[in-house]
Amino acid sequence: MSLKKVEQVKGDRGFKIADIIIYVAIIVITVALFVVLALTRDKSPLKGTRIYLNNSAIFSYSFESDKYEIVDSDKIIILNNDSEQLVLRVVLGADGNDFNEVTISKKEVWVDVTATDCSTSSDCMYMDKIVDGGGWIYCAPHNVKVLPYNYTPDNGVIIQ
Amino acid sequence: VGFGACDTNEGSKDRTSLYEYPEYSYFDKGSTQLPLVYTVFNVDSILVLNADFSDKAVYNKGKQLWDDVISFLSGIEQSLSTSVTTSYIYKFNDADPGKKVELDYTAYTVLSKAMEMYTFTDGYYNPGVYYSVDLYGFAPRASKTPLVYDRTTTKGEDGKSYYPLPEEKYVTAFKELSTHFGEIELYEEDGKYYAVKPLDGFVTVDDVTYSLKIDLGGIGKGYAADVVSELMDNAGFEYGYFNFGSSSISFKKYTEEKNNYSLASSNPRYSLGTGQQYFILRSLSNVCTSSSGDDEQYYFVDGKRYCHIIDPTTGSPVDTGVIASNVIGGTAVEGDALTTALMAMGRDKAIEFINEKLTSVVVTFVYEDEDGNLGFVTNQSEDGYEVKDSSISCLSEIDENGKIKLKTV
Repeated sequence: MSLKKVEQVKGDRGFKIADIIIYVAIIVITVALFVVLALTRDKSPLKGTRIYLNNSAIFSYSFESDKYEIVDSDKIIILNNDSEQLVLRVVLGADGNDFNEVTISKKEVWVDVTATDCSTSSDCMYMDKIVDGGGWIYCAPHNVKVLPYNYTPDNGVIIQ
Repeated sequence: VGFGACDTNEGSKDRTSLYEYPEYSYFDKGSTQLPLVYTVFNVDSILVLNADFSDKAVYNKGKQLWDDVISFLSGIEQSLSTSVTTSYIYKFNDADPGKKVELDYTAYTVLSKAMEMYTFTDGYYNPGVYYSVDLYGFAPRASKTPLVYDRTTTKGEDGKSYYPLPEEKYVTAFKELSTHFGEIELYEEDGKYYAVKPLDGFVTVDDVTYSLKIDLGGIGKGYAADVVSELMDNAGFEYGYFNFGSSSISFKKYTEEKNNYSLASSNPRYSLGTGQQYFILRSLSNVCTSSSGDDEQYYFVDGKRYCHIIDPTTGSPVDTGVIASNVIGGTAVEGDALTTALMAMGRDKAIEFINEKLTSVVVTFVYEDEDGNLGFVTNQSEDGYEVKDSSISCLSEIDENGKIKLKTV
């Protein structure tokens, strides 16, 4: 970089007006999304969770009875199960080397994807943990869905 | 399909153990609502059943219906997908002009219906615009291998990314190619189904030849909604609905207490924090509904919106002012074709068409004028709906013959 260019960069302001507008817009959208989602989502208590792989249920857990059920034993490995939490691995891929790790907190009553090997963005790990009947987690690369029991998509009003 | 859920809608019955029927424990025993989410054609379909699942017989029927629906939906992708290389429609698209291609029952039935709707709408519904859809970047592809007309997403002077518009020679050629859709021959022989591609169904641009391709994905969703509706009837489920990507919905009744669902037609120009999410509310049950809009998939170039719905008369994304349409009644497979066609027709032609040919279904479309003002046109009388957004005014009224006529300003 030439000395002239360095001086030019130094002389520029840290933030240009356009930058500030974009940052403010992002903050406003984020706050608005938070408010809308917080006000409209189902907040009924989380009674259990079910894990789907390629649209088929492969595992379910009930907080009420503290029992779990493995529907497809080739796809689920229980890593830990004690009074505080249940940790399981969803085994994926032809060679079984891909995975999503799901933690179920019995004590605090939530479900979360806490580890995954997908080479892309691991977006599912950054989705909110499921704490009530309105939460859900979707891992697109693995087509794994984690849904609460009684997941209800509507209350009789359907938007089309 | 919104994921923001509302009331849990649970009954007051005692909840039976989840583990009583371990093999069927996909859903909660005792819950009165069973949602099934299944992804096909890259969109989510949702089946919701409202019933007393604490009754073992009902529970088992629900499980059987679930299995039947999944089996059907996975099969329909194998029949109609344009990006699954083993599907029948993919093989049809891949064949040379003049070739005979075997179809399965679903592909044959949906293609037959598509050809019927092509004629019924005077060509305004035309699934032969596959290449035009792809030209504007909206078609899913089996392979990521680039085609010669692909452009590179670039940044404009305003710093925004955009997909450059295609060269006119491709727009013109692919528009011409789509006109051969009506020349496809279909026939059944010895219990097998066949389609013959038109011999003249090809165009050549810069020494590359393009054979007619079709995309039945849109109308296929409607077909699926119709079939699942029938499966629900056969299984004896009176309450619930099946929603395929929001564009096609088969409604039954809502619950014993409240028979009707509320269908909210979305505002196609809604964005978070501005106006209402939907502009009309209707009460309905036991009916199919279909919708199309330019807000489903789109991008902007120089401030102009380009959406995934192609006008067969121009070979380019619809630009008629009709930005969304909705049909209530009839079959969903027909509704899907009609909503697409109405957007391509434009306001005045659409009104003429509705008055002449769509007298037995409820039709509504949203019109955006050159100044960006929105209004809606419908053949339903005012007592059939509730306006929820006064900024989208009704532009029409019903005359003494039951026909739509535009209000005088």
